[in-house]
Amino acid sequence: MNILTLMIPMALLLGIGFVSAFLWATSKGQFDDLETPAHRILNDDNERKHS
Amino acid sequence: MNPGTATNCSYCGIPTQGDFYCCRACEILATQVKEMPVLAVAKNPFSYLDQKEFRDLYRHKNQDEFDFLFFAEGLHCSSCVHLLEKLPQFYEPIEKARVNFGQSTVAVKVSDNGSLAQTAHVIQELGYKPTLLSPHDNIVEKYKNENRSHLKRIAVAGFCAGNTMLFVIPVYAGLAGTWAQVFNFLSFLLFLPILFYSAIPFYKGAWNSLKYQVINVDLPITVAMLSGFALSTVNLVKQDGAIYYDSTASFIFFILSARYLLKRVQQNYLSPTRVQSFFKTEKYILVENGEEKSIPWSHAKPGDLLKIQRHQTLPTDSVLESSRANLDMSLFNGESLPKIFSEGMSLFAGTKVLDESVLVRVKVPFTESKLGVLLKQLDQNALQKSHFITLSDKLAQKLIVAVFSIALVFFFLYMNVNPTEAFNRSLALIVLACPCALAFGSPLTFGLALKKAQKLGILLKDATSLERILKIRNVFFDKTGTLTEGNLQISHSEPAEFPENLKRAILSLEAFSYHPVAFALRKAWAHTLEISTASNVQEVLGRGVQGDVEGCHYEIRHLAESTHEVETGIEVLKDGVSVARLYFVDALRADSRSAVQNLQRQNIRCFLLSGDKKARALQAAEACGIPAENTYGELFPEDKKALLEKHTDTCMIGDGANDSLSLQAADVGIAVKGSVDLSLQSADVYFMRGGLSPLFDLLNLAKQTRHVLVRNLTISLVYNTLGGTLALMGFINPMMAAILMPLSSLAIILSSLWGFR
Amino acid sequence: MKTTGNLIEKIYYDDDIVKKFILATLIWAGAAFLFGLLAALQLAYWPLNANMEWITFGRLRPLHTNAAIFAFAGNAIFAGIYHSSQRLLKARMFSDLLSKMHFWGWQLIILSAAITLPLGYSQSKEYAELEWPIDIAITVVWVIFALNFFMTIRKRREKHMYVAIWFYIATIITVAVLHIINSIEIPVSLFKSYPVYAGIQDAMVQWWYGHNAVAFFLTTPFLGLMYYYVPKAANRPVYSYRLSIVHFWALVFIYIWAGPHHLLYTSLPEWAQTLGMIFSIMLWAPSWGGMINGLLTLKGSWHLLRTEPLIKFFVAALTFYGMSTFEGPLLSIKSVSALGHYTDWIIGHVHSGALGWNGFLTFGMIYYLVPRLWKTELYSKKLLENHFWIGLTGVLLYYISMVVAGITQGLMWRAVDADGSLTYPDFIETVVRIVPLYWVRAVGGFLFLTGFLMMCYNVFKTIQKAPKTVEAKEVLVERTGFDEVTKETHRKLEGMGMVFSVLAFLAIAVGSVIEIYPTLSLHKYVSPNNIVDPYTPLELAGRDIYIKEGCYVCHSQQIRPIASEVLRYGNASTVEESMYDRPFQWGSKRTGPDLARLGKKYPNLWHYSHMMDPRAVTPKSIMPNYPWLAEKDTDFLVLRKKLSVMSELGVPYEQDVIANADIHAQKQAQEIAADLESNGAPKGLAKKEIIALIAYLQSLGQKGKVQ
Repeated sequence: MNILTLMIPMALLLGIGFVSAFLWATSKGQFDDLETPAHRILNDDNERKHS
Repeated sequence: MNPGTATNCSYCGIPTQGDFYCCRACEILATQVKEMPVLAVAKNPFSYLDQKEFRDLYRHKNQDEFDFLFFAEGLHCSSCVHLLEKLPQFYEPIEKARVNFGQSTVAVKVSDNGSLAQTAHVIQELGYKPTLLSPHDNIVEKYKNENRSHLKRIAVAGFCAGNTMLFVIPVYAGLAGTWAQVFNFLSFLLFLPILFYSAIPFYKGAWNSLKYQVINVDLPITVAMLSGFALSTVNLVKQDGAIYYDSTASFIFFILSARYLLKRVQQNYLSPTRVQSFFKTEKYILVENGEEKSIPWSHAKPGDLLKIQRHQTLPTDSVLESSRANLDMSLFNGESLPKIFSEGMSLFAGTKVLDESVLVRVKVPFTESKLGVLLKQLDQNALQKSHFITLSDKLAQKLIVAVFSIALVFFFLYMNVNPTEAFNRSLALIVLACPCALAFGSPLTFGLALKKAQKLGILLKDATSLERILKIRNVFFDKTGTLTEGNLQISHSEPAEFPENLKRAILSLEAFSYHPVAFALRKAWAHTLEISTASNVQEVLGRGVQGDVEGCHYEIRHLAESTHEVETGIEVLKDGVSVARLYFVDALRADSRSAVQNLQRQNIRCFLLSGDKKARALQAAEACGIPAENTYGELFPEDKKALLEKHTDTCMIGDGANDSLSLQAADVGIAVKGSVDLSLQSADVYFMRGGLSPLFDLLNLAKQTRHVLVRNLTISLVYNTLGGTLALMGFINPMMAAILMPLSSLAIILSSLWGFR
Repeated sequence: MKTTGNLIEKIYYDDDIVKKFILATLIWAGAAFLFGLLAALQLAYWPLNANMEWITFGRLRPLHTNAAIFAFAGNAIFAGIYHSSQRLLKARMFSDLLSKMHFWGWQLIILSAAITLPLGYSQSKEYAELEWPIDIAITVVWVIFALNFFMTIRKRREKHMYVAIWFYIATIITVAVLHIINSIEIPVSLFKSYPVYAGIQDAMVQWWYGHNAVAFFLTTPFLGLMYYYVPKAANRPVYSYRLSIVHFWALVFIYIWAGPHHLLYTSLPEWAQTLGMIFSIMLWAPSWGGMINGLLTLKGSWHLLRTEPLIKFFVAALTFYGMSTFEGPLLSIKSVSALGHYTDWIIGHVHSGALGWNGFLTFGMIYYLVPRLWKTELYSKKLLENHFWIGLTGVLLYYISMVVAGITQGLMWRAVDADGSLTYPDFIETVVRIVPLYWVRAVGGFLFLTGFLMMCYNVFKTIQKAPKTVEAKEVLVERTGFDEVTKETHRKLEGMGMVFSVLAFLAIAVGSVIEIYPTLSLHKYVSPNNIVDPYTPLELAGRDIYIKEGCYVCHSQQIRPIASEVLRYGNASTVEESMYDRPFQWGSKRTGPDLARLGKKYPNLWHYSHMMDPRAVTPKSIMPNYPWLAEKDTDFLVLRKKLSVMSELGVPYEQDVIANADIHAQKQAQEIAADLESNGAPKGLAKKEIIALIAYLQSLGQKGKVQ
């Protein structure tokens, strides 16, 4: 199973990459407010309903 | 649109009852998002905000993203979010506006030449009541870093636990040889981030435990984790024997997550919606050299002459400079009937002025005022309660001691038979019997209990009150606002029925009065919409009011308290002749009597403590069923506390700052709706719904919580006994551990969720 | 509206690119569904193979899967990502030029697939069949897409990255890694290459890719789209934004190891199979998190199903998603896999996901987007409703018929009599039994296609009645979401830095692999007793024909250690037997029997007759005829290059054999042709492809030094 010499580092690298992204995002406050974003996306100028 | 037909909001599409728009926000968004005219300074009630003192007070200097934070009351839907985030389009100097829906706040960045007053005006025009929050009030900010840090630890722990599992499963499934060694080594590597980063809070807790010689649950968690790590690493190096990285990693992940949940739930109670700064955006008029200017509350200094407006609370203890003043003393004695003060008398911070405007001279800074001192006392006393050790913590302590003892005993006994095995098994015991199920079950249970309480309209400062309340033997009730409604109602009148024109005349005279009697009359006779204008109205403070209505001269006199101890009364004279008398009482709440009787049935003694006249207290007590010997009147706050402290297992239910000392001194202090925000500083529980029925919801919830805790404890005990026995007998291998641990955690999660469904 | 304040600016989103991608989606969807329908009918009624090599089932199937995944789903994803990202980030795409390059590049790739696959240029790795020049093109276009996307994130005005954006990020990064790793191959000629991996290694990499392609191409981007379009269509916020964050990260931390569940009971080591099974089961939870979140978003707004019918498509899509993500882990359990693997149950599972989840979500999204992009109302809501019900019926017919077929097959294959012999010793018996279900499936597919055509008509009429010239709608946004002035340069560097990191990462990845591949030979890990001989030059040529004709689409070459299977086909396959196979041919479906031990089972003439007309040897067979194999010449000269590449990759060919590969091959061909001739076959076949193929088929299971 030599292929594991490739796949394990690959999988770990990818995983670590994603964890790093998570840690970066936390520092930048991406997860501080987990309620308002769901509301915010509903309001785009372009797609409002017409009466 | 026909009312009653099914229609949808033209803007957002949700169903409306025949209306074109579902709410103001949608209406504005649909029609008029454009620059709002700047309101003239004179007309803008928020004008004072542009003064330097106020701007500095409320500016959030440490923030990049915003300068000012408004609490926007009435924010309830997506359109509201959208509307408020469009603030820049309504007023150009607003550079940015960002809503936090959960906190109901909007954070704005205003350019230096922009007017904060206009900003507040715009927010109000859009339909939300704006209140500025100072940096000190920014609860979100306060916990931000701590929460972020915690979240990061969870993420790292989760990732490492998940991927450690990835590497140990193959070994469980039969992988051997070089690859097995490689995988084991990788799981060791993946454990290190947990060891050096995620587990730090546990090390701190364990260290505190040792330092203060109090056993808390962090200590065994740390020991279990380190033992697991040590044992696994030793075995890794030896290339023989069990490794436990995955189960150890998982339990750290679970406990961190449970604690995070609990922490966030608790923090919600301290959001700006709950603890509103007592003096908020109060501004006071300072009279200096004949000129008037506005200053914030915090700027009032001894010697300042202040002009206090009607309904303003005094910022600090002062001396009355005007000839007379009527003040609402409810903050201190819970009574809504105003008290008269004359020139030269001392006035107290937090009391409310009822006259048009009153001049006072500041005596002392706030911190030295009666209220300030009280608050400080509360702060100091607060620490004492936190020493209460919950049931689970107690059990955890016992369990820890037991486990360590057994492990040690076993080790010494088995050492002679087989030292390696003795070591392995003892450590396995410690790893497995770690009270982590406890450690993680309790925060989870408490978190869920707090959430459920909130749904029931009960706010708990922390979950330990749920345990304390089950022990209560003596309940102390405040009178006004707790057992009674807290406002006056007409009890009877002479004659029994009033002609309409008389009612009208009385209402016309009382039209501008804020006396509780006036409120009672207005409420009782609300159907009498048309009132005539009274002329020549003269109000004699404390005595009554007189004037002409519809050609007749009416006078309303307050009956002296000395002759009417229990009831408040007024006499109405028309053209000098007495035509009516009205008597008012502060009526008992509908559920007060049944609440007291319910408690007494459970062998809980009930007491009544009141600052009001003794006669009135006795009357209320009798109506509720509280024995006369348990009833006290004319008490000062310190007296209430002293009385309370004579008993054990006490619960205080009260309202008003006069109860705050008692609320804190009692084992469980419950603040009832309608009370002052201040109560929250001292009470453990706050009822958001009116009445006393939440008390029984609280008791039921407490029972439910105990039930769940006991169940969780049983589960963890069974698991510990089973796991411990198997460990000592040598049957535990890493796979068993990896299965047993998540299973017990899962059982506890399910047990907790089920318990609060 | 006052817009002169320099703190508020007007920007315009690029909706042109979205329109392009939508139209492309519709066109290729038509192709994909048509190919699918044809393939379905071919299985029910073999003459529809029409003796045409370009549309025989073996070549049609990869065309169908690639069209469905990359052309249909791909363009749909891009349409949705371009549309939603700009709005979520409050920024126009970073570069219109890159957008256009992405679009046209992708369409060219599809076109090249449409040309090369029918011609038989295939790597036979599922969902990665396209040959190496196209693989490179895919990488280039993907990098362009990634650059455009990440730079748009960099310049965003909305600081918070909505969960959908995270899903898109995960998609872009992971698909890039998967594609690159799985596509590492050594070219032999312009349209032929060999993967650096062989046998079991190739199997692992392929299904690591294959499953994660499903995950990160067909799931994560669609979940991202779902999290945007469902709330928008319903005008309700997502039920629990927190949950969406939690399940996204849970998914992304652990998805990567579910791949081995495609290889259960194969010669993949036990522990790897167990690992795949356990992780597949764990994945059920975060997947259902997504479904629950999506469905509960509509809580309290179910009346919308009446007033906003396109929501029906979303509801159905989420339900099918839930079904598939439950069925998936179920099928990953070893005992279930033992029954279902290689059967039509898997096909049913795939299509409930592809048609139900991907298809319906895309349709809902298109119905949502088209009126808005063309600034008009949908032409006919009634037609939409009909589309929904007809399409739904189609999907259900498809799914049910295939699950029944699959379970029937599985049960019949493993059925053993009291005396221990196979109840259905002839494979054809199991085929015949399920052919009626193939008809039902074809009807299902036809209905699905019909519904889709209704949508095309609806969209066409909608666009037709749209106003011809529409003023682009400006969007008012704050000038910046960040402190632009001070961080301007810093951001530029960071932005480039990020791009560079990504590219560097990819470079490192590729570099490491190229360094590793010499060590990828199995020699250290195979038992010296079980080592096999490499294919002879002729057999290699025949193998490549096998690949070209897509035989692996219907035939597997991996006998599982299951009693009934061993009875039917012979000893379970060992790791060593495929140790030189590049690419591996273990297969994933048995429309026809397993061929792992086909060698020397039948005489050469049998094979000749069988390939010319399968019904000559198996009357009820549904296999197509392959007459062109007797007409086309084998390319002998290229065998030198082929063997030389193989040798570089570690296959122990002797120098002489490599240098004279063509001569060795021709010699062996003569022998076989002579044998055929003497048994009544036509003369002069020695140079024909059929001979090479026969050589290969006769070698299957015969290469071991020890039997």
